[in-house]
Order: sequence, then structure tokens, then C-alpha cells
Amino acid sequence: MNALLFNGAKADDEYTNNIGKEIIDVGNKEGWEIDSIILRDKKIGPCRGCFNCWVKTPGQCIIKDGAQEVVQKIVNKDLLIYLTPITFGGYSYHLKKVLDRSIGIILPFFRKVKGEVHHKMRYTQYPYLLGVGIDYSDERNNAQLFEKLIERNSLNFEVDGFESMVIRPDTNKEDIQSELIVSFRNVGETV
Amino acid sequence: MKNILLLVGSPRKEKSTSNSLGEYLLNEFKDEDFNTKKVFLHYKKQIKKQEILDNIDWADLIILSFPLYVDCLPADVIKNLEIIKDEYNSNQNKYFFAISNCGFPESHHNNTALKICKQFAIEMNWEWRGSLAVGMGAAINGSQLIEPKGMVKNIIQELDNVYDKLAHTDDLIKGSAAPSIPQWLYILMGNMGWRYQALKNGVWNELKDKPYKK
Repeated sequence: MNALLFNGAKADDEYTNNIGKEIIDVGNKEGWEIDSIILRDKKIGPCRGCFNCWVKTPGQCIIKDGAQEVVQKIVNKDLLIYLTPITFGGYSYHLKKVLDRSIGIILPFFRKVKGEVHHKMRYTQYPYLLGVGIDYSDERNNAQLFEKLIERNSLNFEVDGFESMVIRPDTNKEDIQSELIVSFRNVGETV
Repeated sequence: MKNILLLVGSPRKEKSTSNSLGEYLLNEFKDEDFNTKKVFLHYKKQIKKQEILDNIDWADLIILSFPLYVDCLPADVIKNLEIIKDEYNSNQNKYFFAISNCGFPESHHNNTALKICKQFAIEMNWEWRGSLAVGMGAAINGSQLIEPKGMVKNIIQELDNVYDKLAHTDDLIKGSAAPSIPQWLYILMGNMGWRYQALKNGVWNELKDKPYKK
């Protein structure tokens, strides 16, 4: 079982980076091979909104930088893990810059999923999503909003189900490990 | 409230639907003698960061207009919100309103992104004035919104409604609109549009290629 970990932490965010190590550790023990990418180290520019990844170089962004190497890994994995400090309930800039540049892995055409319109799939299979959000605030809406965003993103991949967990700096290590084990096992049963 | 700042969060800048929607609203403020400014959030030079912080300081009402990218705000918009949160330290009360537009027919795809905008306002201790969710953004395609007729009639009526509430009331706004086009027609036109562009680019047969498949 192969997983890809997108680490969207800033350089000085030691806690999120340590959680990244914990995810790899727990995942490896549960039988997952995890490819971890520290996104802040990748030179990835913003999406230009040109849609050339759909109509000029189908499936690939026309901007030549660090994004292609990262994005092409997505479609060949069983599990995609988003690790991010929760930013106003959503993703950090470092995580989002890659997601924006990855729309070429789906098609421009529309289909209906659960009664609403989404894009059609370019590939036959996409990874299951596990969102791990680090919540530094006391904002009670953050966890709910983060989970909703993961759910919405998983619909784009036409994957039935998703895993989401929110960790606060005062969450104890055993609880984090237990929750990660459950998530890895839940996904393991579906792939 | 007299100073109104529009932040446009699309990399397509002047050619974007985000600009069309925000500009229409900003012009309504201008017509009633409010002071208005507009700033694009996609930029290369570091100097722009200070310009944005100065404009935030100047503004009483901040309107953020952006395209929906992967159920959320574009990365560069998030980067700017992170900078404002980290580096703008004034306790001045400000009002914040957000407009999100998506290419999907249903405007509710924008809801999660707009809740993120609300969360930003909460964390800044600004007053959340609400939002406008726009579907079928591709039908506007960056064109200037002028009169409430044709397929943009609904959009302009809703923008007028938003303006009236923002400028003259304290009401929390929860607007949504989409051009007056049947969903099936919008999808058909969209699908034809993608194919036409692929044809022009000489990649008609490659449209569904799988370059990353192992």
C-alpha cells in the first residue's frame, strides 16, 4: 500500500513537522510505504487560471517548475495525506499551491455526483484522502470546516469516503497515534 | 464607513470574472461618493505586500472577490490572508465581505470557501458582513457587467441587492446567483467550448490523455 504525504507546514512550524514524522512512523508500522514531500522546499508557482492543462497540454500544467514532479505522484498512490496547519478552517498556502496546480489530473468535462455537478475523471483510480489538520486556534468552527473541505475534495476524486483528523498542540501523543492507526486501517480495508 | 477596498483574487486579473463582479459592486459605491480602491492579489514583487497592508489600513470595508479553486480560495489569496493575519496589527474595526465564483452550475459549491472567509474575518476581529456565491462563472468570463438584462440579469440584480444592504444597512448578507441559463445548456456549451479550444490547439485527440499513468 502506497501513500503520499503532502506536508504543508511552514519552516518554523516544528509541531506540524513532528506530526509529519509521526504519520510516517505510524504508517510504516501499519504496512504503508509513505513518500513524504515537504512542500515549502519545492519551487512551485501559483496556478495562472489558463486551463492549458486541459486544452493545450492535456493532463499536464504548462508551467515548468516543481509542481509536475509532485502532482504526477498523486495518481499512482492508494492514499493521499494532507498535513497542514489549519488556516482559517482550510489549508495552508504551501499545501494549496500544489492542489491548485493539480487540476489537470481531472477532466474539464462535467458529471453528476450525489446530485451535483463535478468534473469527470481523467484516470480510472484516485487516492483516498486523509486530512490531518493542526489547529493552533481556539476557534470551534475550524475542525468542522476542515473536515468539510476534505469531504468536498474527496468528491472531486470520486472516492467513496475520506478520513479527517484535527490535532491540537495539547493532544496527547497516544491519542494521535491511536487515531492515525484507525485511519490507516480504515483506508487499508478499502484499497 | 467611507473607504471601500476591493481585493481581486484571480490570477487572470482584469480579465477575470472575479474582477467583473467586484468592479460592478465597487462602481456602485463610487457612484454614491464612497472612496474606492482596487488591488490585485497576484503579484511578483515583494513591495506589493506593504501596499496591501497600507490599503487594508485605509479601508473601512474590504470586499474580497475570488474564483473557486479546488473547493477553496486560490493559494495566492490564502498567502495574502496569512500575511494580513500575521502582519496587520491594528485594532481598527473593519467590515469584510466576500464574493466567490465557480465554474460549476450550482452556486453552493462556493459555500466552504466562503465559510473560510468568514473564519478569517472572525480571527481578524473584523465584522463579517456576509457573502455572495456565484455559479456558472464561466458564462460571465470576465466580461464587464453593465445592465440587468440577458443572462446576467440575475447576477446584476443580486449585486444591486448586495450593494444596497452593504451600503445602507447592517444586515448580514447571504446572497447567491447564477446566470439565467438552463443547467443542461451550460454543461453542453462548456463541453463544446473545451473541445473547440483543444481543436484549435491541435490536441483534440489527446484531450483525455493520461500522461501520469504507470
